[in-house]
Amino acid sequence: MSGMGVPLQTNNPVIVSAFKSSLLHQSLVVLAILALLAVAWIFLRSAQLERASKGDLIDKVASVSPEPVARRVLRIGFGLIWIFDGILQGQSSMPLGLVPQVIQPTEAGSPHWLQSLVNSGVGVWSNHPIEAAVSAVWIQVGIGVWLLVAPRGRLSRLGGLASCGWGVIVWIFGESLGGILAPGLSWMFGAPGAAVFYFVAGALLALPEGAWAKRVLGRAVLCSMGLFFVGMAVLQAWPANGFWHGHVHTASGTAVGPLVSMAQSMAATPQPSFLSRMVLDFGTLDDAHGFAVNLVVVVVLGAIGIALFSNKPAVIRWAILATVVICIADWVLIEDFGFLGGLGTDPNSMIPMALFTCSGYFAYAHAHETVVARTKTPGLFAPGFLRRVNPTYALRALAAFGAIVVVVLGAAPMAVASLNNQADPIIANATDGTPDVVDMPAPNFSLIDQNGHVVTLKSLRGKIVALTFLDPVCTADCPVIAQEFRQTDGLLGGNRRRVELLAVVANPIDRSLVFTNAFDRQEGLDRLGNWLYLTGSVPQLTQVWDSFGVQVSIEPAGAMIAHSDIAYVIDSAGTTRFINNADPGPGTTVSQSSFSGELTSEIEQLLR
Amino acid sequence: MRSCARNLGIPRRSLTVAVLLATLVFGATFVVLGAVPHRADASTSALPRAVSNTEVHPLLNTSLTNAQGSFVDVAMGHLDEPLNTFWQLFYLPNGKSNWTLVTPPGVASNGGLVMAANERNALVVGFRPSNFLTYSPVSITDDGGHVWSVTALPDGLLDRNDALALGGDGEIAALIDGYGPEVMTSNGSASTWRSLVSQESLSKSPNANRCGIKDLTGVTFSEESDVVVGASCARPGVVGIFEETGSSWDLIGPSLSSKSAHNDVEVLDFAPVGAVTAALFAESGPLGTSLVSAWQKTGGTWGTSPPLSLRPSTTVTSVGPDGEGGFFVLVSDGSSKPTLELYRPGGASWERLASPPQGTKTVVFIAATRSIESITVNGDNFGCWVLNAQENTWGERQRLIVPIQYGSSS
Repeated sequence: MSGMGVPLQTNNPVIVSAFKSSLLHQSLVVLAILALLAVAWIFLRSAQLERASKGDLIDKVASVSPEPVARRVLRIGFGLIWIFDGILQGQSSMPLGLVPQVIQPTEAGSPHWLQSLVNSGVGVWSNHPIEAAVSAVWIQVGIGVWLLVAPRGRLSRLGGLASCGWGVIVWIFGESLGGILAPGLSWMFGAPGAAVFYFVAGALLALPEGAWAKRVLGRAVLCSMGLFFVGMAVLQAWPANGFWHGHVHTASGTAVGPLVSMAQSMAATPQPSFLSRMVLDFGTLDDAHGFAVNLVVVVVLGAIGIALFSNKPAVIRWAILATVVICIADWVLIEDFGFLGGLGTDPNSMIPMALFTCSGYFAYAHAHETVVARTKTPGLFAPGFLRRVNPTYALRALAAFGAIVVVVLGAAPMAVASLNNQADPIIANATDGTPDVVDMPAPNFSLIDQNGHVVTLKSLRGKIVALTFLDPVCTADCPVIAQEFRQTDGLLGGNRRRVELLAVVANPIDRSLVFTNAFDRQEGLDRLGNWLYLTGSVPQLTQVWDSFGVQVSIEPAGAMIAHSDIAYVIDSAGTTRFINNADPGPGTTVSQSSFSGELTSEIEQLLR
Repeated sequence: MRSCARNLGIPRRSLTVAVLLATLVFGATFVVLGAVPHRADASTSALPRAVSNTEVHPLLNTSLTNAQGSFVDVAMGHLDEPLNTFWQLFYLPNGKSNWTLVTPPGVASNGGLVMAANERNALVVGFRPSNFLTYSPVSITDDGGHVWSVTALPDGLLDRNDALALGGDGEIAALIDGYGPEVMTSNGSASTWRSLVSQESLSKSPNANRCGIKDLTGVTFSEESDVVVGASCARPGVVGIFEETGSSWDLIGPSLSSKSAHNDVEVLDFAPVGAVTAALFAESGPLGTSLVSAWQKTGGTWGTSPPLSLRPSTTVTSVGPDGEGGFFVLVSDGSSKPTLELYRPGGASWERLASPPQGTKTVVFIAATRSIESITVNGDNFGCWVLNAQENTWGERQRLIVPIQYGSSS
């Protein structure tokens, strides 16, 4: 009976085990891909060496101009960050923890339309947590590797495009646009979100290489960041945001300011004590000198912003240095390294922000050094590929191809799962354990249905029977179980004619037809043609409860009847085949949908 | 800036203007976004209906007496957690000194209990909806809660002390929230229900436009076993008490003095005692809020009490009948002890009794012994205190631990 309203713990062993198992399974697939690529590489090199020994290799070493330094910084930096994010996605509490601990807190306060949009993604993740979490791991690791191994050419630009695309998805669904539409927006707390930099960096990497040979690209990046920092300084200085005070006096006492509050909450999360001490100390400093701390932040942000507009490399260099310093300071003292405060999914915005700004500087300062590659690299399937290709390029191309396969393999299960609105049965298993598969005769009974007609279990032979026990005045579990049965009816479609959905009253007091009919109306079950809610005298009911192992007890002092939550699936010959613990767990639409999916699956097994 | 202009091939002046404009727009956007105030807390958006900060809608904590004994209905448990708040019913038979727990079993009482009694010693108790339960089970006893018979209303009872009334012949009237507020009545055995009148249809009765019904607030039975419905009126100075007369409804509430002509009036409680129908109503106007007790005299005319003015920032925590056609009112101003006011028909003024003990949720006027008892609650502790009229002090008589099943409703 207990369990309603209690959400699944993020470390639920069933989900964690399934997640690890799925990750392991896909790791083996990735290893197999690597092995295939290795074989392909060996074959390629052998063929090249054999032809070289015959003097048949045309381009032993193709001369390739170096990759623009700014692009290299951006590519390697964001490649490493994506891989790090992918590893963080592999945390065991990610399948059940991402939505309540990461997505919901960030979407709170956002406009309704954005919350609706984010919730559509939340629905996919909540219904299919294992597929979604595993997909996120491989997509992010795959994009990271892709960026790292493909330095030039179309494959590299495609990698940038992949980073751009996935960055947008993460920014919208994972970060609710980085909270830019929510109140209390502040650079110090990570606005405008890390993923927006993944997206912009990806877009830059997708540009033709010629774009890096002009200073304008670097200037555009620096001017954009300058504008951003000035805006953030204005916001930081805005009095209504409350950053000028470490604490405020209210009618009910003293309340800490937003920065102190953030520091306290970050320090409270599990982490090494010296780190939490550092964050807490900063909070104490701000509590005591809120005005001075905010003044420094506003001045530094404003100065950086203005300096980035300058055309003097020396000034920009100082601005870049200041950017790196203040970003790292914020990352350590407020963002708590981004991933330490709770269920971390990325290192937060400061590192990508600093990296992006630095790459803008390099693009500006080193544009003149960039030489656009003129060497045309042969296509993978072009004639003479084996003879003409540079071995290093071939190795990287093969590795990039492998990374693309990893991304596709990662994305495919999530894409398929998103088409299915029914939650995975594993959620029901996580709540109630796996159903008992049995083979024993179901005890017969004779009761009356909601219309006053006598019904015996024997009279239902020839049909599959799903049987549960419901208290018609129950306020918690029973209405949820009733909805699970109602959903099962919907999932059965045309097969519902061959199935009878049954409930027996589990209340020795409120058991008359008045109650069964009121309950049916309340739950919309009176509209189902194959629904029977059975009741009888107390001795009759007690006999049925006993024969099906259902405990029913009257509780004192305004508590409802306590009874077992259990659901039997009985085949057309009257044999019990499945026994489910029907505790509805959190009672969310996801857990309901999961249980009805499981029940439907069991019934369909017996219908075959 | 200069270099930007040069590199982009745009005239420097244009770019300067563009950048300045962009900065302004960008800054303004962030300023507006950042300056958006935080959403009001949900609890503040659901402000209680009050005039001059005075809350006049008492909780369901109340008491009543019949010839057999007295009943009290109080909220217990963790009152800040709806699913761990359990409403309890206690019974004190005449001639006994200890209250016993008689909450009807089988249904979770988190939503609140509504009770009504008749002169034939029957008591009906309705469970208000809570959590996923949307209709109201009803339990009836005529032996002080030893044996209960049960039935159910098709929808949920409204959150009003007088959402239930019990007629002398066992007929029940219930104020429920179906498609809007609606009064239903049962047959004698309470096995079937029929809709008597809805707010919508009552509003169309001949003289209902004098009231302009805003809400239905309670039901009771008249001496002739006709259903009487209480309401709050949109038209100022009108007491919304309607009585069923054959196929129609008459507005029978007392006429108020010209001083009350601009006050909004809401019927809070009925107290049928013998042939007398008594009502307590609240008047809210520019000068504040006050309570008035009224009783119907022979011939249908009404007597009214002087107004009991409520100070700003006070809350009426419990009201109920005194067993003699009058009402008690328990008022809290947030300090430790509430104030207990009493008015009896014909009295010259409201009488302030000794302040009941801290934690008092309701009081009981026991006609048989002419004693006044205070019921205190603290978590699962139930206490009973008796007023010593000579010394004007309260003395504790009983303490009881109620076996509340925390967590059983979640």
